[in-house]
Amino acid sequence: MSTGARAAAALLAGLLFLAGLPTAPSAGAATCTDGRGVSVVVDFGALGGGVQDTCDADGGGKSAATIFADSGVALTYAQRAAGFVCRVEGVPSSDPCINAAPADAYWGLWWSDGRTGTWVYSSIGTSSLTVPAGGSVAFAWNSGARTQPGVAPPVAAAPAAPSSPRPTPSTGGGPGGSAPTPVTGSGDGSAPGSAPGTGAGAGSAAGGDAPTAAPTPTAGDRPTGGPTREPKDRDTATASPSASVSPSAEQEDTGIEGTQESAATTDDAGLPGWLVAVVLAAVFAGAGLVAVRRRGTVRR
Amino acid sequence: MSTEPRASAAARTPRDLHPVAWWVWAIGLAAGASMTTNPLVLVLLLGSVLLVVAARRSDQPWARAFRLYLWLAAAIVVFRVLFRLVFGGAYGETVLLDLPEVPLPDWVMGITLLGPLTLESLLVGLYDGLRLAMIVVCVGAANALANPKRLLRSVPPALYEVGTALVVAVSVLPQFAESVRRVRRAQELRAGEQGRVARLRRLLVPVLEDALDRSLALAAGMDTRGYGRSGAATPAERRTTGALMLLGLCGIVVGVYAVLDRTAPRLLAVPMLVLGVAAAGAGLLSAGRRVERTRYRPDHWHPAELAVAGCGVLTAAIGWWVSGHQVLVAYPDVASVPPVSALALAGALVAALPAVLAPPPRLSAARAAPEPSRSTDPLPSSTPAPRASTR
Repeated sequence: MSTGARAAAALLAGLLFLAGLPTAPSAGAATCTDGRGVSVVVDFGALGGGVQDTCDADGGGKSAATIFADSGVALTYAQRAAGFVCRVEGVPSSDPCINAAPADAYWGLWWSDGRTGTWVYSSIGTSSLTVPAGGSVAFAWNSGARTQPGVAPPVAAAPAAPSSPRPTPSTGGGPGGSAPTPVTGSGDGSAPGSAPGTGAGAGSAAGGDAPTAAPTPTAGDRPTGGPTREPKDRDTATASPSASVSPSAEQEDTGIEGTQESAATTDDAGLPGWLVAVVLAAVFAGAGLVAVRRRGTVRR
Repeated sequence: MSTEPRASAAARTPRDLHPVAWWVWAIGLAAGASMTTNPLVLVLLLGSVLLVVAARRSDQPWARAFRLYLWLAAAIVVFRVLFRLVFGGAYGETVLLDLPEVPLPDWVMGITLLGPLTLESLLVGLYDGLRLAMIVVCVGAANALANPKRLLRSVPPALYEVGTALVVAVSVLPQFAESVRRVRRAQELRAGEQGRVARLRRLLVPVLEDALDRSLALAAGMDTRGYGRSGAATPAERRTTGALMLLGLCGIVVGVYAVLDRTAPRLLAVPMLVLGVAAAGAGLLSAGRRVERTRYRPDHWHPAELAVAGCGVLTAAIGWWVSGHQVLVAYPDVASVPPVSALALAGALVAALPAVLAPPPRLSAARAAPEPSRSTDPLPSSTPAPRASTR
């Protein structure tokens, strides 16, 4: 009985685990748990939307802008402050995105190198910041004082040792991340509450009975309070304009201009280019003509 | 330009516009230019300024300095782009030149040198530089069009001593240049040491003596006419003036800080700024009451002045409206060709209206020519008119 029951339980767990697989990408896959990819976290904080984290499997050594684009996180840059991220996934939409955001309501960029387990506030922008393999990068919404992302960065247990044949991060690490690993790998989330988010995510997607024997999972998640990761987080995040994974993944090539329309009112009745050119030419020709005529009369 | 007889009898007599009208026009244009980074609109505004300056500039020496302002504007654009490229950090995706990044020590963490040169960062630097350059060009246009000496007549009475010092400086400087020329010509006829330092010393001493003599004579003349007497102000009046000025200063400082720092409470921003300006204005009025002076032939405000000033104010208002309601036109994206709306085009063209609204300037050739030939005889006078720039 016990063996049969155990087998049935394992089979059930396995089925549920597999059932959890396809939903996992939309549920926001977990942060990277081996030492090779880069974990991407977006903490919406007071804006609502919880914490969103994904894994970019081949983001090691790339700039943060590339990593975010590969993970499907849409960034909008301010028009007059080049390189300043004013909106992540289209929020806050109240920001006109012309100047840099005020010091009490802005998106802060944090990163971790995957060994210390703490977040470091980045003093360089997304285009210049390079994140090593195994590290993490995060955007956290600051309202008031500078706030860290709600989820601690995963620490790679075996740095640069791609020993254990863990399934996956290598398969398609693109948008949505490759979910399957995290569940088994959550064991090495030694920092409390770190990977737990991940383990809990896939676990709760599967109905809470994560087949893993990972010690940390659900229990570790709750204490972190605000950023309770639920699979719905990704959906609420996608409810905000232009935030769903696939469109933003397509947009990643156009990058800036893709998210630009939401920035301003769309009542710019742009005049045809030839008209502007003709007017420009006429004004400059007029100025030159007047100057030449006056010089001629003076010389007389 | 000579007025043709067959033009209407009310052909516009050449006269100088009130300098404050030109300055209001120029400041309105500068305000409008500062509220947009659209390069097409800014270049159109530049064209308008060039048209107005070409049409209404007189031939006094101070009017010829406009070219310097254009060079300064070009230098500003170049520097802005260079700084953006060297210190800007990577931004954008279209890489033009993949320059290596210069590694810097850790304690200058926030700065990145060079790095890949992208089209987007180049354009951002260009747009911003154009905006700054346009502001400089507008100020230069005001300098070229408005007579600075007549502008000093409009200085408020509270700043009377400062105004007097400026008038003396502006009048004495051409005489200084002329005396340098005279002394240098005299020195060439005499033998003397030829070393550079010795030649400078030979030039400098007579010029300084000359300047000192002239200043003493001018000071004696001004003293005879009552300059330099401080008016009769009671201690109470002085205290009031001082208090108003200090209040105004504090109000303006707090208001400017609160306007720029968006995390400060909004009550401190515009209300404090308005209060500060009002207090400072009241202080100036109170201080000016003690100065009794009269003006010789003050400049009046005719409809042409109001029209020119109105053009500047209209341009600023249109620029402010476009920056609030047509954001994509005012701050275009660098990834595509910047759009221009009809309103923005109109705003830039309104700035060119003073070329026809303002009366033609009085040229020194016409000023020196005898009266009859100017009004009836369309033929040029045979003798070349002397071009003394004494005004």
